[in-house]
Amino acid sequence: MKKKIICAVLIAAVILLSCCAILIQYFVGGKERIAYIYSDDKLVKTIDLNSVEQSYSFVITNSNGGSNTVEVRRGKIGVTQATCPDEICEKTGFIDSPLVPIVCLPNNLVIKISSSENENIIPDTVTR
Amino acid sequence: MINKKIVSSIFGIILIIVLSSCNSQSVDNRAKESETDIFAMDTYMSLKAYGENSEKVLQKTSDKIKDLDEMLSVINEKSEIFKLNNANGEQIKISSDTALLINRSIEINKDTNGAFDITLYPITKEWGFTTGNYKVPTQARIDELLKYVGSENIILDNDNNLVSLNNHANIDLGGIAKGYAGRCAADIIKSEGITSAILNMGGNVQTIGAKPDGNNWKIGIQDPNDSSDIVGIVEVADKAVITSGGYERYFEDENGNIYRHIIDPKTGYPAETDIISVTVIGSDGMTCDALSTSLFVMGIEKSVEYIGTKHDYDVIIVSSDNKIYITSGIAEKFTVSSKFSEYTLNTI
Repeated sequence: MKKKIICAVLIAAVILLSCCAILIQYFVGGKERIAYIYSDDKLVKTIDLNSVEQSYSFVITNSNGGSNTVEVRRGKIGVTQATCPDEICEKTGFIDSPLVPIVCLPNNLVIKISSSENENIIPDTVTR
Repeated sequence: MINKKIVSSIFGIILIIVLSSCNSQSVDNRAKESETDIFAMDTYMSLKAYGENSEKVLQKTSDKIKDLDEMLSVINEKSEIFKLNNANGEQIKISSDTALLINRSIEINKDTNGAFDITLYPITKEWGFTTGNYKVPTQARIDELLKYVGSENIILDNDNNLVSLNNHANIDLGGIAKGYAGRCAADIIKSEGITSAILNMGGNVQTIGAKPDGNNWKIGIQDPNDSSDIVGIVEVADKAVITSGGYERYFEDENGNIYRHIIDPKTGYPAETDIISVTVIGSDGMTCDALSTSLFVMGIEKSVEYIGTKHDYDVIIVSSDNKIYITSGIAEKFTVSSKFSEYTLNTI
């Protein structure tokens, strides 16, 4: 009788620990949102957007002297100022998912996000 | 005896849990994935293909896209189009790619009653949409430039691949070239034995086959008001999915008026339309590309009438009065996002 109780407790403990591990993986380990910033086709900065405590900005200048001011907020990133004439990078606004990259063609700048959140509802690509 | 049972039970439970939680990572026999990003055709392209030789095939595909870019650019002095636009009416020898594009553009111009027009270039240039140096032209200047617009100004000698432009006309294949590049890319990829690939050519999507797991590709349609969100997802295989809208390339004057980049060939002004975004889905990316611009210019009523005669193409239109129009051929493969769930869905 005592052994059966020990058995039941052990099984319950194993199930509980496994569930905890899965939940931790889902809620903590799975919440990565990394921004990759490319200038002149080279990766120049990698930022974990989910670990941003306070908003900040910096300037990326390319080999032709063109520059983009990049603002980083918790969970999102955007271009707030650019020397390009068409300003398409600014008009893209802040992005928080891999759906659409921020692209500045004149300044050869690309900002992409890689995220493991909500992968099941993220499409393979986006038409626009 | 009981101890053995206990141990084996615990071991069994652990095994089941571990296996069930790792099922998504356990598929190591997936096809090799290759990805390449390129700047071409005035946009940023992301190409992804699956298969053993996918890396080599994507290199070949990139080379073809860059060749087309050099051939069709309006600003590259070595391009066929630049030479044609600056030939003062003289005949220019063109490649079969350029000839095909010009011929198809003229056909679509006639078929859409002028909504698509590659001779609109002098006007889009005047507005600054080709350079980013935006300005609002005077009515007199637009009237003057409209005289040069019209596909009758393109004189083709198809037997000898020769073309000339009459009446100071200039052309720009920008409204059809990316779709054509997608079609050429798909042809190359398929001819190399790749059965699964997805190309995003600055928002123009070309799919080759289905996903490696056999499921349809899920293509999101961008929310016109928020680049980080989508209107919905359409599931396709081996199709082009191409969207036009005025929400990406536009400018605002000092009075707060917004001018969007898609010009109505009849007025020379940005198209006044009740469409916010129109997505065309079909096997031929070249035609999808030209039709998406045409339908945007036409507006909803004419678009619905027009697309009713084109059974090879499906559309998803988002209107300015919060409606989504979708053709019956694709309706079952479209899932509207929760943000747009209050929009009225009209199957056409």
